[in-house]
Amino acid sequence: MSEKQGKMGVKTSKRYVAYAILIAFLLLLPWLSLGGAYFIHVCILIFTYVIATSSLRTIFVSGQASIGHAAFMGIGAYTSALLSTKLGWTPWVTILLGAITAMVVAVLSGYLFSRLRAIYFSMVTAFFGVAFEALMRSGGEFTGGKAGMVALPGMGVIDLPGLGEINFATSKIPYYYLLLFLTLFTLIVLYRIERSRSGMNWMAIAQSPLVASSIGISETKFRILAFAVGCFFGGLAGSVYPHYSSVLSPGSFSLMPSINLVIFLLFGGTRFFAGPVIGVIVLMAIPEVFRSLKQYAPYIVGGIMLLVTFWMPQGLAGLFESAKPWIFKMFGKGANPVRKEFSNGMRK
Amino acid sequence: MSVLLEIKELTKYFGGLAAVNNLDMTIHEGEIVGLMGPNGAGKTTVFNLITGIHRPSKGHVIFQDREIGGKKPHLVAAYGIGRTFQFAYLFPDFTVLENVVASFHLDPKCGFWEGLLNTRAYQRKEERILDEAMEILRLVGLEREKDILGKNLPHGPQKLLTMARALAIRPKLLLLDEPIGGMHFDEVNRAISAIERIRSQGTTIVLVEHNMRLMRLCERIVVMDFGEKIAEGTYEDVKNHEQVMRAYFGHEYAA
Repeated sequence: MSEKQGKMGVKTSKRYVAYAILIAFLLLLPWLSLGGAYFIHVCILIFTYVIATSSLRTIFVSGQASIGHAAFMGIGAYTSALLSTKLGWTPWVTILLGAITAMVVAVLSGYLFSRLRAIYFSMVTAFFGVAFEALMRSGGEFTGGKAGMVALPGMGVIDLPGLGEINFATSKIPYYYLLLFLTLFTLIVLYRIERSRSGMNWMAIAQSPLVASSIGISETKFRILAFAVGCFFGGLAGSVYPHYSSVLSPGSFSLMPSINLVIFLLFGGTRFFAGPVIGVIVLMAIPEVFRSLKQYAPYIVGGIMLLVTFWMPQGLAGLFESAKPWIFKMFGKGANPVRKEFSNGMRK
Repeated sequence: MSVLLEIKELTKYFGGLAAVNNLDMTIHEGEIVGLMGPNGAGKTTVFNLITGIHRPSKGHVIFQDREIGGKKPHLVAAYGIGRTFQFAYLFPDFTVLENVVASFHLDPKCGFWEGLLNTRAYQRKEERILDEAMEILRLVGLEREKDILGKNLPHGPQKLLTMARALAIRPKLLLLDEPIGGMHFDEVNRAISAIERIRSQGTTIVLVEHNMRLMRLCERIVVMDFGEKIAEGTYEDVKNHEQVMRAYFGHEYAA
């Protein structure tokens, strides 16, 4: 037993080294001159979508396939935009308030939605998304109506101890670091919750609400918890972006963007924590790589989605996971506990 | 012996059909009681009424002086009633051990924030739960299968696992719905010795079963037919009861 624990310890510390290298790489990335400002812009988009898709996955883990996640991003975005323009509050505060508002709306609506399961839950979240967009479109002066809002305040100039003044207006790079920080924060929090008992309860409910109730797990409570946590980070992703781009349009939070998030998620693999990260990076990279074929990008993505659904229903992350025994065999590392990642139950 | 569970005039209608009709039943602490009857007699419905899956149309379910009829299933579990289902319902994507560990949800102080921050106290608690879960697996004889996924277990061990899961909530009353249904001979032996071990720890058990070998374990047997109680007594009493023979074999065969 102790020998096994020792082995696990080595594995974990190796893992931490890998994470440290990855983070160092991400910190240096903006200075590697890989395509200039546009490259930074794509990175910022990827970070935003990683936050949004990972938070959507949290909701999926509890057995709730939401197709209205973009609406909760929209709640964050509009809250933050309205507070910062109408009341003149600093975006640093309104971003957080946007996320909290999205969470509060999620708790209230989640209470109603939690009566519905499976496809009925998906349908009602989709309707919620459509209704949200319509509401913002018809908001007139207040929400900017169909055209949305323009000239939103940016993050301004902040004075960080040790780093000096950072001006968000002159460069995209500060936004890169802000989003990088938020992404890491989101991923760590979501990972910890998922590996804790709350995450185990979510998976239990997703597998069998009946059995879960027989061991004392309240389906309503834990479904609302998952929905609230997911929508908090969804709202966070949504509320930062308009301050970066300085514009906001209701179309960004309609049904189609919600479906896009689901596609990112399914492509990467719902069962794996890294699934959304992989899904977002690959799917965002495809249109960039095939830039000359940009008008065909939706068809390429559609075609890939069909292949994913038929050939790797576990997503890209699942494909890697099921290829692991082969890889290990090739390098002669012997049997590998493939399913360790599958179920989250035990922490090391 | 004090009364643990009291069922009074319990009635459940599905449409016009009375699945359970005016049932009275008392379970004392430390007892093992069998509930039998032909298919459709309403045995499982009684379990579902006790555990809150169905709401009673009439009557009372009183557990430790508390009315629990119509309470939500997760609350009933929190009061101390564990159950298994007629079919081997489990968490298919959890391992055997995880199935049991997940069932420790009711263990006190499983807070959201402690889990998120992964505090020392939380880690210690989860380690203790892991030990206790292994103990329960040993009790039902599944310790060697602990790392197998629930869905990859054969039917018999799956049913044993559902028993382990119900035990993990530390129930005062354990309801077993056909605990050996669909098992082959060796598995039946395994299940019966598991039930005997659970019983020797002092857990009160009510079980639904057709198998006479298991019924012989019961101190008392309640026989139902068409939602009503038709007989009650020891194994010997019930075995030769005229109405029971008639319910199972028809009029011609009754003595």
